[in-house]
Amino acid sequence: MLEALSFGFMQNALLAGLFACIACGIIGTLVVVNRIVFISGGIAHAAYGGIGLAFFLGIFPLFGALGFSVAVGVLVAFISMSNKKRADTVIGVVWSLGMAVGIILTDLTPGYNVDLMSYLFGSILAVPQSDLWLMAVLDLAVVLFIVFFFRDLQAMSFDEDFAVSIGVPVKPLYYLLIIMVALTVVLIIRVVGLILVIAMISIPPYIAERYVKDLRLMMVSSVVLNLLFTVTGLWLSYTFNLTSGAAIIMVASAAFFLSEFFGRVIKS
Amino acid sequence: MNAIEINDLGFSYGENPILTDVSLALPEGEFLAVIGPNGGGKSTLLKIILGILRQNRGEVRVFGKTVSDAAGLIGYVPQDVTSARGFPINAFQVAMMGRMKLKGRFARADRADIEKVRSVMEYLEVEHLAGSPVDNLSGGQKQRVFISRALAMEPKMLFLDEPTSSVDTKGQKDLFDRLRELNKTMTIVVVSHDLSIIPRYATSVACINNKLHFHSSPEVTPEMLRMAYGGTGCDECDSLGIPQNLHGGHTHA
Repeated sequence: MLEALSFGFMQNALLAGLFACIACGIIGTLVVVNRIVFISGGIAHAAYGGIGLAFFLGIFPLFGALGFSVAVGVLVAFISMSNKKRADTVIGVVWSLGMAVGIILTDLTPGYNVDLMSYLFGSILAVPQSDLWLMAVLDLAVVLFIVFFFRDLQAMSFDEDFAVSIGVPVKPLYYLLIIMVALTVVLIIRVVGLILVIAMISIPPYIAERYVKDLRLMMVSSVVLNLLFTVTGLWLSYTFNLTSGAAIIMVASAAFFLSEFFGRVIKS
Repeated sequence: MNAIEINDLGFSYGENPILTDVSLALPEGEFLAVIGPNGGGKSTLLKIILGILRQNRGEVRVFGKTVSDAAGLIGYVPQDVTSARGFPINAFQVAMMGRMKLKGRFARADRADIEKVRSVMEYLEVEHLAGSPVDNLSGGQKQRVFISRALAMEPKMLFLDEPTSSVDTKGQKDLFDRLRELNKTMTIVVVSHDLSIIPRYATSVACINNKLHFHSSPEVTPEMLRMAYGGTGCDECDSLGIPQNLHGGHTHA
């Protein structure tokens, strides 16, 4: 593994992993406590439409994914606020529609692009410098968002009605949160791919929630857990020549079940 | 000044009218008991006054201000204290939320904030639970933590939505004795199904069932009881077994 670190692609991979883990741990925590995992899944899969659109228009794929998933996020946030009871169905539709749009647009683009697979399952070992810059900027946006709005987000997530009654701008904040989820999704696409995004967003906060009873600590622990899973997954992928994204998720899922098992054993 | 002033308010969920032609002028310093059947619109009216829901028509003023300008003047204790199950937060942090509005976004909590929160938690006898995750508290303990949060705001008015649903008889008496004490410095509005609190604690009564009937009476005599629960549109009286022929005599506010 040490010799692997001397390769530029490995350094890029670790840096990409770090960026993804920071955003994932922070936003994932808010996703889990606000019970919007399904919404996040919808945004992640709809992002494929954006990648297809970018290929079709010949622009930078992550920009396509970014614009598309932010737009889908705003739409989904609007639906989930105006019709809570039926929101899950509509999100399910957006979920598949986004992917369908992506596939159709790829069909219409002359010359099949093999690289498309890397957005579905990640390609952390092939992250170009340009992607790293975009990821750094998105990360900064997420961190600023949380520093600026932490108390409002905590109040809103814990008790929305009370938050409104003391003047927290809950509606704009909810939209912002969903937009941050969209940014995070774009950040992680490079690491594990959009199909596996949900695992990275939800598994570490879920494990952390069991042991930590503080929102800030939950965010920090989620970042650390994500880093642990990513580095371990990368090592497995390098050593045994496995797909990196899938290896990372396997490690995370194994930790998830172990935590569930031991958590229950300790309780009883 | 009136703590609450409502003129011709109407609210409906889609086609379904919840509140119709509601008007109310509640003077400062009152202890208002809000009664009425489930689904009659009690919680809805509270939420409109708090700015959580928006009325379809009519006007609401809180201490002479619009609802959004009055944010932070009313300490709200919600009915469902079991919400946000599993949320990682301890009792002290919950009570601390009450300081948010006073502090603004960037100011860090200082010694004065911490002292204030400690003292309200002491007053409600939950200071020993400060470090406990809210999830591990009983219903009654949670409720007192939520009241601490409301009091930490240093509000001019306190709203409690069915505070008796999660406490036993003794806890209920303790709670209302404290509310009576607090009433010396703030207006109090309590939604309750327990009509026995009215003669002992309330200074005025509002019965809500789509329409609102208001009575400003310092004590509730049998005559007033009849007036408070009587009248068309308030079914509470029927469930109390007050004969229909005793209806009447109430004023439509």
